[in-house]
Amino acid sequence: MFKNVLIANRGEIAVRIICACKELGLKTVAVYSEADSESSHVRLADAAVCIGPPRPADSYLNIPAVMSAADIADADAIHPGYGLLSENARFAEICEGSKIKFIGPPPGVIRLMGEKEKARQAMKNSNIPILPGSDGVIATADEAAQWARQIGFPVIVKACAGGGGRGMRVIRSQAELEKSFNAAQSEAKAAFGNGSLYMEKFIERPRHIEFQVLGDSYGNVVCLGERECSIQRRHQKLLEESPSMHVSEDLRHRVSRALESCLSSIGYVNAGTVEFLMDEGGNLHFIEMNTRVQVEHPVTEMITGIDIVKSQLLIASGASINDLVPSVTRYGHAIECRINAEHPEKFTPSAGTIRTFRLPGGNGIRIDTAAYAGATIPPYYDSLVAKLITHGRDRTEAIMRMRRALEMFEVEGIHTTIPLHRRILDDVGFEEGNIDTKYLERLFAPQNSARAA
Amino acid sequence: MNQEELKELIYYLSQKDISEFSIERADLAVRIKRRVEVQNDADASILSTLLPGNAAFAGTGPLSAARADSPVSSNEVKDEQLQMLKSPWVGIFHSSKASNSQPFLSKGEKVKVGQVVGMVDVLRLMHEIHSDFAGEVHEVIVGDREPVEYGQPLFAVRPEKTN
Repeated sequence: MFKNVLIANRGEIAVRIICACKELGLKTVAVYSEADSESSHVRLADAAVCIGPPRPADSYLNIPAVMSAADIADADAIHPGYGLLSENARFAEICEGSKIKFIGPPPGVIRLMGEKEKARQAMKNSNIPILPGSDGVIATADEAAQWARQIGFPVIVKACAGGGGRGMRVIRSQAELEKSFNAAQSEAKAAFGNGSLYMEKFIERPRHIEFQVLGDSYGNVVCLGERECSIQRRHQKLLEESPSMHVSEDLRHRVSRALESCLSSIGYVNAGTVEFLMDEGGNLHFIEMNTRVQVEHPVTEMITGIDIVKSQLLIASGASINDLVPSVTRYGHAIECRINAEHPEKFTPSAGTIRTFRLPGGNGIRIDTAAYAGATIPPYYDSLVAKLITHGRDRTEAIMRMRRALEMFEVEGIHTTIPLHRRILDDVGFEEGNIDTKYLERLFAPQNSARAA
Repeated sequence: MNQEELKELIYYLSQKDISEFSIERADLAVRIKRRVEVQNDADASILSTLLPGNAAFAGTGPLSAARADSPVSSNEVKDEQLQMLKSPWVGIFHSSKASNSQPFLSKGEKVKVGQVVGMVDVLRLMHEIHSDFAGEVHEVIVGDREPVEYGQPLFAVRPEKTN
């Protein structure tokens, strides 16, 4: 087992990792930018090293500064958290070369899953259902037209190197194909330096469902079940829950076994999440794999009792899945609301100083946060302020708990998404499980049309 | 800084018999002066740790910034005219070219703009540190082969009057 873990991240996930390290008796090293000198992770770690100015490129993404911090602080492992350097295969390689344990999958696996088309191919080879789409890169609009005829409109083109909606276009007919394809291509080129596109069948009202996995260094992979993450805005998840109302025990079992054998053959190690879209007929289609811990991992932790971050550390130090997770049992239902520093309706970021920070508590409530009264939310990083998680014996209890927790959660000084979550939790559509990735558009639609009238 | 912290600070300053203290951040400027007997200049010429972004009470070492309650450096800014020459890198500070050679810069020496004042070993690669202002070295803050973090003050320099 390593002794001193450097956490190459900030905010709530850095604090979450510090918690796991403390519970395992490991020392921690925080790194921070000049904008984060008063952050919770700096205060809670055993040591802290300032690695640069506020801009992420100069600090949290600055690999030489992070590695040098590990060097002077004598860290023997690095946990990258999520975002930032977590899916950077080069960084994982540099750690390996420096004899520092990277807490995540081997660089080759990160790289494989980072290239969407190769990842699709790997899943397809293991009989994981993927969306009907182009086999490989589409170079020209003519080629795109051929594929579209074969797949059937509507289709979506996406950047091979992409993410976050850039280089992405929905194409509904032959008439708009050429223009949309060319626009996506130049957007991808500008955003990622790589104009390669691929095409998939477009699902009008998909559900976003993902499966949590853990793999060890001996070829064992275990699937911890799914999370329903359909409530999103512009591809940003806002509320997640587990189990999904739309995944039957049979479907869960089949997908879990298929993923376990597929990822075992790929050599997947550590925590990962396989993302699917569910079509209107209830069929799952693979979209991508995230080779890191997810923001919404607590939802799975609450219903399985498995500490995913602690498992990550133990797997990296050589533990086997058979010892860590002899069996997976699920109990009850968990919901997570992301409390972001954003205007609840306009979604504009709301940086500033938190004046009041009054947290709910009591039975079945968990809060993961790095925020406190007096803390400043800097404008340079993501807007996540806290994750509010409730666990109940069933979905109804989890919802009722979330309602009262949101009522008791008071934040002043910045705008947050708390009012939006209160609205979602009170919505009959949500209660009935009538959710998909277009849910928020519908929730806002009556109000918007009323305003227009 | 709230009132509570301010009270704590004043109490601390009086405990340590510090007569004058000032700190400036983007949104805050505090200056505290106590009426005490004038001390011997040499004894009193000690410096504070004005860490970047202000982990003001966090101690001098790069690895000690974790706790606000860690021992405060025994130092204090006596002269608000002093300017800090800071480390632009995370690594090991070298005050001279080789362990047996003269330091690049010692107390009392003049420093020119662009002059090499030390080196930082970043992952076995040596980076020279150049001064971005001219003046006289008032204090050498970091010792040879000590680890330094980004923005850590290395030298306190009394800047040269330009006119």
